[in-house]
Amino acid sequence: MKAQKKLNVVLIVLIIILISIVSFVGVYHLEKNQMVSILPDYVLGTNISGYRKVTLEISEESDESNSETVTTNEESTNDISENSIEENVVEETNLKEENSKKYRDSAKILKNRLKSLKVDDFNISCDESTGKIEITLPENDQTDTILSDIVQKGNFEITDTNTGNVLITNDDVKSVDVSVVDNYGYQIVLMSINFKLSGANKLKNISLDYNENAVIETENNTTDEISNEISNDVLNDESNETSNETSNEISDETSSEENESEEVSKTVDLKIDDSTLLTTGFSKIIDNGVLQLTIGSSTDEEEIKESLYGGYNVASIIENDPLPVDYEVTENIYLQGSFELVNINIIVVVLIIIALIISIFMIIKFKMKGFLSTILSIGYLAILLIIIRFANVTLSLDGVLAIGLAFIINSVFNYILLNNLKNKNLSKEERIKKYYDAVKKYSIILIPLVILSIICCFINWDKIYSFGMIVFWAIIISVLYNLSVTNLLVRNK
Amino acid sequence: MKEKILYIVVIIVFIIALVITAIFGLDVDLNYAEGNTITFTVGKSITTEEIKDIAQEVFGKNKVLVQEVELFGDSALIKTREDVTDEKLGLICSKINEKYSVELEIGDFAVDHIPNTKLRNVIEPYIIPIGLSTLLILGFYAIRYKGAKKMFDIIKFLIIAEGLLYSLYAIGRIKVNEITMPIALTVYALVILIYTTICELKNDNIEKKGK
Repeated sequence: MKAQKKLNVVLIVLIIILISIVSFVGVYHLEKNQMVSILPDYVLGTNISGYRKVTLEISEESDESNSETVTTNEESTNDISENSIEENVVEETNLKEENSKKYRDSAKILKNRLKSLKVDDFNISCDESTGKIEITLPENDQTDTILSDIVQKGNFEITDTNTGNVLITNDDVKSVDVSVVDNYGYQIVLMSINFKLSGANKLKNISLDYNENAVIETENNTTDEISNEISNDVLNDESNETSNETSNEISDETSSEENESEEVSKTVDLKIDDSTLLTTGFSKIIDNGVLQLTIGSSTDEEEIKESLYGGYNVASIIENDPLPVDYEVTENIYLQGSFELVNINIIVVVLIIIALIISIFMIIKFKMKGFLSTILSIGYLAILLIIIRFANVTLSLDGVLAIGLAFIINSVFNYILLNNLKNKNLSKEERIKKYYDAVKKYSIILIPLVILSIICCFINWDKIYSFGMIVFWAIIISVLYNLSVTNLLVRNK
Repeated sequence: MKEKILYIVVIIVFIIALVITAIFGLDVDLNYAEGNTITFTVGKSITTEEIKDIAQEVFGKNKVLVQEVELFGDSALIKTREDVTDEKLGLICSKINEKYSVELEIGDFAVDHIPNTKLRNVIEPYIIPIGLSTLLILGFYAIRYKGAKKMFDIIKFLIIAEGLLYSLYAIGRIKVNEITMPIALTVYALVILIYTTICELKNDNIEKKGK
């Protein structure tokens, strides 16, 4: 019986060593004359693998107009300088400050646009004297689409197609949502522009003024019918009182405009930076402050993805302020990991040293049991690394440190357990009871870290997400590992 | 008494760190600092180590950061705080020509001035997760240990640990780089783990004594 127990312990240790070899060294097979790893590669984060770097500079046109302003200012200040040099200096300083503010605002708007696009792990730096902006962002299939529109000035306007009158601007927009709707296998990409209260009122008036039905009816000169039709529409959503008011308004407006726009179809243009995105009329009154537009439809996944990314871009432009200065992309390159490989090696070495110190402490304090706990911790780490590979968890620098933290987390359990099993004269039942006491205590200790890891998992930022995911997996695996492998060892001791 | 002395020492260290930061600022790594970049394509296979050696010969040791550009292995970017004069650029050009037997000209090297990265932008993404976690963890402490004492204690230890880390960077003039915030986050998690373990073990001892 005792020999059987010893054999079990040896078997468990051998399995742990085998798993460790698989995890740390890898398993390879020959494929096309090359040794290929069976285990999936680690998914590296931007601060380890690489990122896109984009430099934005003030466009020449904008620069010229700026310099013109400066020259005119200089000319005028030359005249003034005859009277006062001080005023000249003050004006120049003011101009510089004004420009610095514009550049700062531009960087802030670009930052907000990237946030709206849910780009994680970006960085923006701005040279306030020249206006040059440097952006670094992760490399993925969305990067090029994002960059294609990043320098758009972003003046969003809804204008009258015929007169060009501006009816709505960015200031009236609250937020923009882009979603995909499945219509019997045919997918439609929808953009919903949510307006602020003032914008919603304007939109309601526009949808009344530019109502396609209203135009047709106007052509037929049946004003009363229009009022009825629209009020019926309105009745679906609003009270009778409102609908009556609305219908009265419409009839008044249509009557007044009857002569002017009898045969002209009334449509509006949706424009970004003077380029028309869409020309449309309104078939019904929009009184909920949401303008819904179809921006793409297809059965092809790739086409939908393209429309969706394009939609996100337009949404990020519309829901943020326009750039105060025109920018152009002067550099767009992919840079491989800014953190040189040698430094990652240093981090790994430091983590190994910490693990060694913990292991030596455990061996000195608990002798043979401490040695076994060290082997258990190595096995735990090996399983964690395998899971990280298979679960496609992004490994950023934060994630690498989280692996070190995972080792410490598991060592805490070993410490509590060995502390409980200090007494050598424990019966099997007592040993198992002490083991479950340790598990209970350990579970409570882990609660704060579970909170931290879950919150980090919800953060849309590569580095923090990586930390959260690894700590989360570390906790799950640690509990399962100690409930199975460690449990077996305790029962067989 | 010992505890009081320890706190006084910690406060003095914090004050020194704050004064140093106010006067000199934190020492940031080249990656975050304002500087000049030189981007070029050699047209032959290069390594960052080789380019780094050449750049260090021109700008001095530990004054350059070299990164590989794109995925073809023939382009690189050198970042330095030093001024990139025509003379220095010519020197780099000739050294690269000599090393790789190519005929690059100064015009093939794109020089750019890069603004510094604001540390505020580096810290910002960590504020919400840390803040929210701290609030929820404090809630856990209040429920588990019935009272505010442990809550205040964990806040105190978090401030001391993170403060000492900050002081280490400020006083030791350690360069703030991409690993700094991950270290701060790990220290935060470690303090919570260790303190909760200590509390639970103490609770255990109290229970045993009670029995």
